[in-house]
Amino acid sequence: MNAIRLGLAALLAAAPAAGENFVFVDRTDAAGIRFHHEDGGSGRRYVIEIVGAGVAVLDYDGDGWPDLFFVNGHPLPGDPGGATVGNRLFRNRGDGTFRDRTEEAGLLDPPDGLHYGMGAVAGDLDGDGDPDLLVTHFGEERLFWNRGDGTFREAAGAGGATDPRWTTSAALFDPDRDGDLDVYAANYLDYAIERHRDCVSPVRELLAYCHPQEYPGAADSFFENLGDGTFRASPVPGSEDGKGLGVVVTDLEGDGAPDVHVANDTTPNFLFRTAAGPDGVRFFEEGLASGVAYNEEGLPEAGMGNDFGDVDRDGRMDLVVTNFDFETNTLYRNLGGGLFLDATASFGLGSESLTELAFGCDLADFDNDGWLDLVVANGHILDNIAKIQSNLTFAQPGQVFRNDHGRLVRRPGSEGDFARPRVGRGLASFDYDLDGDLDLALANNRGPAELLENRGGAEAGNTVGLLLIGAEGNREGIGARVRLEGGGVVQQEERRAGASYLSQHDPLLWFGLGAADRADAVRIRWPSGQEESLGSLPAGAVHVLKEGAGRVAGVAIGDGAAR
Amino acid sequence: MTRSLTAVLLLSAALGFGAQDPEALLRTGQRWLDAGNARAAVQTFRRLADAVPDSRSHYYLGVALLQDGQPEEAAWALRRAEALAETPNPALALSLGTALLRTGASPEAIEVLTEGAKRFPRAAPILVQLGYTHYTRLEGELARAALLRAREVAPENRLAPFYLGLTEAALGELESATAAFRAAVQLDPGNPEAWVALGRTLSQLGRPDEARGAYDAALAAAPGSPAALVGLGRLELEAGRAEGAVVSFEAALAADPGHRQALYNLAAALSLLGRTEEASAVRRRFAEAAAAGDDPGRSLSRTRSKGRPRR
Repeated sequence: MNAIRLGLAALLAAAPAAGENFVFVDRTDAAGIRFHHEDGGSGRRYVIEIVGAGVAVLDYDGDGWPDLFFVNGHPLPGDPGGATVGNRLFRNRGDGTFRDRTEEAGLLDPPDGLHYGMGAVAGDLDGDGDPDLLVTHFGEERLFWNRGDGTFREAAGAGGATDPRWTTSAALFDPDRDGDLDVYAANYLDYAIERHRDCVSPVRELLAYCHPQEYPGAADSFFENLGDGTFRASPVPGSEDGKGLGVVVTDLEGDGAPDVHVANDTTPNFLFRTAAGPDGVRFFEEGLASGVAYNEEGLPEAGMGNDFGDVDRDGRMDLVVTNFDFETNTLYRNLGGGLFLDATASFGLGSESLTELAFGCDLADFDNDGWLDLVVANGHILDNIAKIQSNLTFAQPGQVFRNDHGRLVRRPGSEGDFARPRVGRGLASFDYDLDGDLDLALANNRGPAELLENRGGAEAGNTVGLLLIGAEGNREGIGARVRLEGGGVVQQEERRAGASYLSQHDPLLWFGLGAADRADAVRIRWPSGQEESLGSLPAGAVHVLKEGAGRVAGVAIGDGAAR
Repeated sequence: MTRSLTAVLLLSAALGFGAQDPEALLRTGQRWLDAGNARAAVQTFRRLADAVPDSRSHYYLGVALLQDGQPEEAAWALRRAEALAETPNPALALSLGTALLRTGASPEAIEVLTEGAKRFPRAAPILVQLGYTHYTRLEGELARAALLRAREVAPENRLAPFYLGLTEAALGELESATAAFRAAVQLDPGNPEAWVALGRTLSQLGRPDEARGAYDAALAAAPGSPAALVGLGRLELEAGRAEGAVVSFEAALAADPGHRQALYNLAAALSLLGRTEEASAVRRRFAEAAAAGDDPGRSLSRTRSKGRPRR
């Protein structure tokens, strides 16, 4: 009887609820993903325990199937029984399953406990055509060069792309426009285990994780790629007081100079404009002037994750920042001219994101209707929050907001297994089964990683996937902006490396086309500055677009991987 | 000089400063309280408590101390009044609970108010204070229960629906908060705080037209209310009417030149209008106001933890 009940429950979970066109269904076990995040907690409540960790999507072996890299923590002082499997690389076998290839790929963590991981970002840092891997830590970064044969080689001292401080999220970009990828690394607090202090909840006398006010912030880092396998690290001027957790890059003005948004925890968010000059990259902090530093009350929020996307489809990249409980997830409308306005309420996010503590997020089209939806991973930072505030919990459900013509509407019926409580942190979207809709990889704090399959999204609307290959600039086209016309509407997307929270989404760009059977026109502005127009591209396929050469290959969705 | 103050002075003169007549001292102290001179009331009730150390004198002393901003002393006097009382007294329970809350001893306040609510189940002020105390302790469900009970026993109580609205908002139940604030303004249409809270909640719910009505009502109740003007300005700004927004924010700043939210949003509105130099100047004022503020992570102070030593 129980088996029948379970079977029925699984069946119901696999189908979208009435009125919904997609639902997330747990495929973790079936896909063979076995990973447990180790926070290393000893009961002392070291503040690093509750920050990790992230997940990066990358095609490390070049077979066209997106693979997953999960970042792990380590036992901390006083954690007697602690153990960790370290970071883990899961190779996508293309049949709906993954295989742990960490050791074979040379990514096994040393068992010294010195590398307490936070996040990861992947990109072709050495320009040899395959994605390398940068892992951020509470402490020095680690850089792994992809040899191109399915294995990695660790760069000594991360080739200089390292910072002894507590780095959280990182993003790859090319602000000096020299054709190789540089790194923006957000640093959080000036914290050390030796300087840990006990903190108690202000409402109850309970030992709790400290407020970030208890520690100074730390300046973010810029790792300039010198093109010879080494990097020059420098602090980002103007970021000294930040407490950075989330980083995402866009090109707001379309001038080829990338802009960096940093979600800071309790301090004003940053928006750095960049300019390339003879003396290197200059950063100009314009968070306040652009309207993204504070919320509409003029207050800094506890920024965690962030993402850019054209939510209202007006051709401009809007910005979402995930925040603490009793702060909304804040959605800034891009008004053009470098100005944003906190338009959370008019976007519909005001009432639905108040009690959640949100981290990983993605603005992407999960039902292929041509409008960007929002998914958010939630989870509190206080394991004893229920004793402090009775209506809150440590583990919290994820949320789906569907985009109804520019207004985000919570759709519990689409959440499915995403609605199960978890201590959510990293989130990455990707089409793991290449069936034409976006699935989710979740990296949870002190819990198992999850793979959630999108059921129904591919049937709800047509889609087109784009794999970009740069020629003049970086090989993956990171920083490229794609403008796609189809079904009577215009959509914009950018190829990014690093977003959400400690994470990285699919290297492919996905566009939902609704009922349209083709994209009528595609225009790409490559990071090199070159602009390229392409004609019609059929839906239901992944197209490989090479800078200067147009469409060079493609494969129908469902027929396997494109490369 | 107010009539009650004149009466106090006349009474004091008639009795002389050394007078010890308890009833006269009581009347004098009460009139000092009515006149808003808590310090003088404290002095008078101290003399009364010295002369007649009973529950009544300590109760009045506690009330005066509470009004004078001395909650620890007030709690002591009210505890003494409680110990000396022959029968339980709802006013005493209420005052003691309030004093304890103000000393930061909210668990003790909860204990006293819960006991008071048990003994006097129809005493709405105790229930309201109990609900508010739970609200300050982030105990949303308990706050809601006490405040709903208060509304049940005293539908005319003006504070119960207002605090209930705050509680519902803190629980993330904005529709319920809206209903509670609507009840609050129905009972007390002259309460601008309740109108502003209603406007804010409606705005968060994405109902700008209704929010505008609430802010207008707040301004009718309290002309020039900066909070209401800022709320209206935000609605204008979100609707893309930057000129109207500037007018509202500037009016708010006329009443409160350091209003942080008004400064922040005025800068945005001016930028949208291309008045960049003015916007920069306003941003500088905002930055000064922000630097002077002590609210990093607004709501975080409620649940995140400060670095004080573990007890």
